[in-house]
Amino acid sequence: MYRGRDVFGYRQIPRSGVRYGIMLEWYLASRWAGLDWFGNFNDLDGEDMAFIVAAYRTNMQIEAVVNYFASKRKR
Amino acid sequence: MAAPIVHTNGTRGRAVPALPEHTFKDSGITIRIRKVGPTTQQRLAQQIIKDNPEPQPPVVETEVGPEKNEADPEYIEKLAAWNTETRNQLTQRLLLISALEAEVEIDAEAKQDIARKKRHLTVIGIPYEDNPDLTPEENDKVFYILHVAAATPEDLGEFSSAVMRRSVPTEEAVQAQITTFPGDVPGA
Repeated sequence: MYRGRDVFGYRQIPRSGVRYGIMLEWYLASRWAGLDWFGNFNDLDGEDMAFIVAAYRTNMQIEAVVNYFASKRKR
Repeated sequence: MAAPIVHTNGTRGRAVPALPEHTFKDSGITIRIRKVGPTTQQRLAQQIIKDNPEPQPPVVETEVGPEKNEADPEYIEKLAAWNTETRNQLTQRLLLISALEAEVEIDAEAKQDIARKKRHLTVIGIPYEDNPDLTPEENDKVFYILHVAAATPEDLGEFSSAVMRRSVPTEEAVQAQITTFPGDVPGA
């Protein structure tokens, strides 16, 4: 939650427009979690991988929301 | 029905949990499934695209020079057909590798089921041909899982989903995890 709203509920957050394959997100999530893609991440069960990807995606969303409001305050 | 299955996961090297079981709803047959990791899936997708390259839009001359025309109707049609074809190929190959990686004992009763199903397919005009790259045992296992154990398209879909859920972070699993994160606790 941020300012009383689910962080994924902020629709006005500007998007970069960058598009990439789903596997890149998995790779970035594994690196973010400090895991080795070719080793321990690939060895995980799908549900455990999903937990890491979910945490990574939520972290990115939190950063985007917080940075958006911080930049608005500066203006 | 096939004899009880004995898993071979971790019988050599470090101890690991038994392979998870998957029971086909309509046939009631239980097998053990093994994951097909993201790297394998990525390589598979790369190979399929290498074998069947993505169609390219025609290049047209414009005021600013040659440009790709992605709105060309013929290109759009070709791209849609290519997307369907590559998706189908990926699904088929993932099903094949999933069946090959799975564990099930093919006993005498299972062999009878295989023979019966193959005969039925021949009778209705779609004779089944074994994959020449596989051993007879592998062909039996693949046929048994994909055509006997998976008695219906729903069975096949659930088998595929079960392997995927175990193998990669599916979007459904990611969304399900996100909903478990409590939002009413103070952050760091």
